[in-house]
Amino acid sequence: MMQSQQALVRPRYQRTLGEVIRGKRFSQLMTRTIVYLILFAGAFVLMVPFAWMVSTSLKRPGAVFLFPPQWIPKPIVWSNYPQAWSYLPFNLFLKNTLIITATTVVGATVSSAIVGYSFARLRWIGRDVMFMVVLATMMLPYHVTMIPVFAIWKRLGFVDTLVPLIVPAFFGGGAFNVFLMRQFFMTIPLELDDAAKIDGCGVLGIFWRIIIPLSKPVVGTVAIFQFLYRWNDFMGPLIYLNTTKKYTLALGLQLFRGQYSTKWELLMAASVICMLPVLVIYFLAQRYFVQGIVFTGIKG
Amino acid sequence: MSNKISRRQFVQGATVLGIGVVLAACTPKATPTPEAKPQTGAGAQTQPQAPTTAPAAAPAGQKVQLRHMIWDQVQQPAVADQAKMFMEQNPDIAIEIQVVPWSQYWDKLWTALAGGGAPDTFWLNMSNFAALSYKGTLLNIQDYLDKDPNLQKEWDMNFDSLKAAYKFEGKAMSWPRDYDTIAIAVNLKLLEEAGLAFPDETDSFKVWDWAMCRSYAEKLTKVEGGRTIQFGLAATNTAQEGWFNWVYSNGGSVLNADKTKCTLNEPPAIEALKDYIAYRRDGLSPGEEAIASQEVNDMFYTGRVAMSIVGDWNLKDFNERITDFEYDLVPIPYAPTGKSMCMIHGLGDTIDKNTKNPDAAFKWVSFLGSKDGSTILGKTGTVIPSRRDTAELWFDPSFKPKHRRIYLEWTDKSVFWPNTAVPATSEWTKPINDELALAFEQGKDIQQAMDDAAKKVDEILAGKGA
Amino acid sequence: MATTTAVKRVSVGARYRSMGRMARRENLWGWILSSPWWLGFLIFTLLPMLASIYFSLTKWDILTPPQWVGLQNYKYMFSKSGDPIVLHSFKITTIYALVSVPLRLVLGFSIALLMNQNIRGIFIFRTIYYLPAVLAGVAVAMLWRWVFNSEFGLINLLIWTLFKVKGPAWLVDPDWALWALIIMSMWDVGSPMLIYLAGLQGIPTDLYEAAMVDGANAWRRFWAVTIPMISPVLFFNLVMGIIDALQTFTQAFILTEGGPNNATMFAILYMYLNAFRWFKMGFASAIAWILFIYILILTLIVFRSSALWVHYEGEVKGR
Repeated sequence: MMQSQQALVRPRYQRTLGEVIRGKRFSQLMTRTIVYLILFAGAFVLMVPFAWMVSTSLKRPGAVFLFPPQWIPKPIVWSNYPQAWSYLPFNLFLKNTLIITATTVVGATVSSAIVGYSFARLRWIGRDVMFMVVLATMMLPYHVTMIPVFAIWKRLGFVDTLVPLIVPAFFGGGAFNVFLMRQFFMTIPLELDDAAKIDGCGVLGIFWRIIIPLSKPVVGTVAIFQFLYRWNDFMGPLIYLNTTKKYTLALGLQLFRGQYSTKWELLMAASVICMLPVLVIYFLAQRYFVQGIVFTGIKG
Repeated sequence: MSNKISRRQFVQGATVLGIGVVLAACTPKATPTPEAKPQTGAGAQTQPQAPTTAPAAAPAGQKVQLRHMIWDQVQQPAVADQAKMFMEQNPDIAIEIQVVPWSQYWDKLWTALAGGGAPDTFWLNMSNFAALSYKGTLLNIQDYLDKDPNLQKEWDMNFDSLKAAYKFEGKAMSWPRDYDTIAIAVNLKLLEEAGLAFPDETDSFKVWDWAMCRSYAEKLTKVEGGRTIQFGLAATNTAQEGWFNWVYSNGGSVLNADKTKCTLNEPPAIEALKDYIAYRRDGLSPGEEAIASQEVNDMFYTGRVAMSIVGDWNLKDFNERITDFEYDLVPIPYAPTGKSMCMIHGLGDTIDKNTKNPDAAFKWVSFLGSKDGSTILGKTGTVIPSRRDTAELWFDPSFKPKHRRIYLEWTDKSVFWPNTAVPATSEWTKPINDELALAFEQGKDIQQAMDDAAKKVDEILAGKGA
Repeated sequence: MATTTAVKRVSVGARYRSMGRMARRENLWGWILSSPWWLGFLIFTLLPMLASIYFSLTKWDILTPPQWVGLQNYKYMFSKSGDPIVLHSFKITTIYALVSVPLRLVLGFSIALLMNQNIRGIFIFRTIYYLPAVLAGVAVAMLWRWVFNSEFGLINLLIWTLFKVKGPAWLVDPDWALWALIIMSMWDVGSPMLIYLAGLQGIPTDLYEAAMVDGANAWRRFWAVTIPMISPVLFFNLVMGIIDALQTFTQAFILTEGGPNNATMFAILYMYLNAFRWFKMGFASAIAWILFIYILILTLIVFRSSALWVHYEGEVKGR
């Protein structure tokens, strides 16, 4: 074997061109290059709409309808941004969105952790059946319960408040999060529990002293996904909020769709503004996003 | 990198968030945070205004807060003026004006009336008035009027047809606010460029008929490089500022006299629709595609459309926005029947039956309908007031454009949309709009489209809907 | 081990009585700690589902009390003279789901394969590709409304620049509107890509080595090792993706509101319009149930078909 290898791999200056092209190193290099090219092209295509959006957001109103279009606006109208912001009461929208997001993130993580713990660590009658129900609920389309839940809130007088958008998060935070928590907790070694029991910890003590401190990854994941979901939630606010002042960012943004849909430059500026917070969080907490997606996609 | 959060961190974090939650939850439910953007009169609106505004109200102890919902941003300053005057006279009441764009107005209103969070007072149009009063969601104004004969007199100052439209079972349920008719705005500069003369106004513009309108539209349409850079006439798929006027001018109608059958598939209506839709089909009018980019009024302001069918409420905005050309008005063109008719309509200020402050709300609404309140509308040229004594104000000759009085003249040549309470108008107009969309954009044969629509409409009118 | 001992069927009560004190306490804690979930389930899921069945048998406009109409809503949905849009909306939703989901998965998988080639800068690529997935919702929908604008939008401008042809009217053209939405969903290749990338990286390399020893080339290795090992992941994401796509609402609402001419009238959008715009709550509830059953059936079909092509490592197939 060694001899044939030696025959193939001659010193560089001795190889013919043909041999180089047929060589293993070359084909690897070619493959790599092609892969890079394709990936670059793909990334470029994906980012173009963003560029388009930002470009439009900085144009003056007349320039939006220029044909052929300008990619780089002349002049660059930075004032579109403050104008878009004050055009609608965005600060109110932001406030409402923050309230909803902060409370539901807390509610979902805390309640799904508690519930997940009960499924993962405790033995109780009906636990496994109940867990099947949890799994089933994960696949339940939300629209089946939409109307009656609305009717319930209307009866209680909470339509046009933020309450219907916040309270459900405290009831387990969603089957999906319960599932995630349980799966994660089950990977924590039981010996740690036993050690805590010996030290005299009860059920809550184990939860508090052992499970929680080790759960940063899953807590992070649940929190991030809950944040994303609530921040962008459109249908919930659409159904429950009637007064403009109580709107969230997502709902408020679509007000642009009404009388003034032709002010594309403002609409794009407003959209950029609404995207920014998520972008920032994404770049800071990317690890959790990836982790979460991978965890749910693979272990599911 | 340790995965452990120290317990202390967790407790700290949770406490902070927890406190935040408690604080947020304790924020009282419905306190409006006034974003004070005071509107003063008819300033040039080169900057878009925030749709939700609260005219600065002194913060207060016992003030009653009323929310008034409207859909027209252009009229907002006038309403704000009315609110200002009212609040001066009634310092214990604060009015907050909420502007919701037309495309979402009815959704929001109905949902709010049904679900909760409805405004105290709001604009109603006739088609929704019928259904909503039938469902018992409006406050009965008649009771208040009966108690005070002076107020009853005020209410009676409105034009008869408007009064009739806003009564339900003989009781007044809304206070008429304005009335409007339809005409066509013409860009005089583009007319000149095309070498066309302004139509002769003798005999109420008798020469301005379908043929003339069509030929003008053709000469005013310019196509360059495969794109239409100038449309002759904006004849879009809309009823009030569109096909309705053509149909009725030609002797056609939407429903028959007792509102049991749709008559849009009958010859006079079909003939009219054919003439109207031809503008779109022959490229003389912007269609859905063009409107998706830019609204029709915007197109008029930028000279992309030479003639546009407009109701009188648009003129205030026209006067403010149009700076580089002159425009004027011509009526709806005369049909071969020799008649020119348009739609008449009027809004009413209405009170939610479940409002927490019915007395204050009624005070506000009666002020809006009083001579003082109505005068503001007329004087600022916003809309034609609904009262016989203040309507004239809108026709002040110092207001542009020159032929404003067409709107007044056509009041006698106008007709209401046939509204129904049960089923609600919005239910049976859907098939009509769907079929018209097919005819406008997909080239469906008009007779066929209207036959299909009529069939569905008849069914709905007979009560066979879901 | 002999399986001669029959499993004794023990009643719940008997089980409880046979538990020791500690076990009973644990039992209690279990129920208490899981209470947020099952309480929520009762209040927000089970009861509403039952109520929804009731509503579907009534005519209800929220402003006035519900009127019992029996099966009329269902009849109206399926009969010739009734409302053809309901079934039409199911068709539109299905087309969308069955086209966009597999396309996205294939695309995501392909990109994951590419990225798995041990190249540098994977971190940056991953960030960029996943970015569109993170930014969801209304802002993105608005962006795409502008991108698909037939006169001044990005797509038609590109078409004009490259091919000198006028692009289709997209969102106002009934033949193209649904395709616009499908293309828009392609933008989010990042989510499937991430999952597959992780899945690919989880395939044990000794499988590949064994294949190479057996003389398999790259192509053969792909079909014999990669595909079977990744098939559970493929499957799971296909199912979840389809269920998710069948519930599309926001994009359709913002971009086209079901138009033009109902070309993008998704099922849930139509249900929403019936419930909250036309106040036909009874009819909308009926639509909700039929849609639910439909989703169940579709899911079951995909599940059954999985036996044909999904390979589970070390699991007994079938149960």
